Amino acid sequence: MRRVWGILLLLAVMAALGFRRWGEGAAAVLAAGNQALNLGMTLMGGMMVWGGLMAILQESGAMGPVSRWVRRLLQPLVRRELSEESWAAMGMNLAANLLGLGNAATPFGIRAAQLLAGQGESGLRGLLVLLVINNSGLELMPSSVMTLRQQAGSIAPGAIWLPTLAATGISTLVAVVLLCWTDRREKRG
Amino acid sequence: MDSVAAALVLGTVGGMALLGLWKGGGGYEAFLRGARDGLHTGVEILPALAAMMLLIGLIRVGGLAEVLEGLLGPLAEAVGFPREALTVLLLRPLSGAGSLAALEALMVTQGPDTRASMVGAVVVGSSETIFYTLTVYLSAAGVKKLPRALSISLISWLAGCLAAAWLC
Repeated sequence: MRRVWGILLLLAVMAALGFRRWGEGAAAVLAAGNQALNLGMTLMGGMMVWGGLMAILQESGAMGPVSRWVRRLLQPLVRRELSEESWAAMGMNLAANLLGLGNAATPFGIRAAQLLAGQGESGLRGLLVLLVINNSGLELMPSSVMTLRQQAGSIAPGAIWLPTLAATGISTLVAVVLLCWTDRREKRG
Repeated sequence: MDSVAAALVLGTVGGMALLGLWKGGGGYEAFLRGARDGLHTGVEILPALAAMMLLIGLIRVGGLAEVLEGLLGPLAEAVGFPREALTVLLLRPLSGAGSLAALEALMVTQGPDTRASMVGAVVVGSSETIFYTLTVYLSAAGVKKLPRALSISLISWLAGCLAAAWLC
């Protein structure tokens, strides 16, 4: 990951130099810090509110039902014991993602990642499953894309709904298959 | 936000309020504690965000995306993926805002109901900002290396993009 970053950064600078986009390139560099702060502020806002609500859930000891359904769903992939709190955070993350509430999903995902990181090898396994499922783009209703299509004057903004659902399903399926397949190879090797 | 999602958000908050009053000692203290934790985590991931933004900014304005498009164009067309939607495809794992902007530009130049625009829209709707998610989650968790996470994510994303091209 870290080497990928350095290589891409170098290539991006070389492209900017080669295309003589020096001014734009320099401006992008100077703006990057500000953009990171803006995005961070948005994230922090969400993390304060959802983190606070999540703490109430934790304090009241009502984590059980939330963690149970996601556990039932993901246990065949995780196959390790994880704390109830981390299952609950994963469940909230998954639910928010499915509903397309990205601003709520990220704080829960981050919380889950932190909780999982403190649980040794089984936690890292849970984190791998969480990331792979997250990255396969599960979402029931791609509302931001449909809104964009409507604004662009599409005659049927919703026409992409079923293909999108199918595509995200296929990508999740491929992710699960790959995970199981590499598990087997690792066990053998 | 559509009304189902809005109802769920409000329902969640209402549920938490009830839980806090019923079993959590009012809920206020707990909320403050959770919010404080969230704020600290936010500060911790800022450096990773800066690294990401620097890279994305330079890729977007510097022309690297165009170079890659030129190189990947023939390959994309060979597998049935419209060349025009490549910018959207390439920006998607890096940046949510960037890929939405590219999709908007694609719909303006090609028309929103052309095949290229449809494929672009499905690509954006069916996938996630992989590099961003990995960066943020791993840096918040303090995990330096997680084998297989990036490779599995990228391969399944490509499968989804191919599916998008074949379905539209």
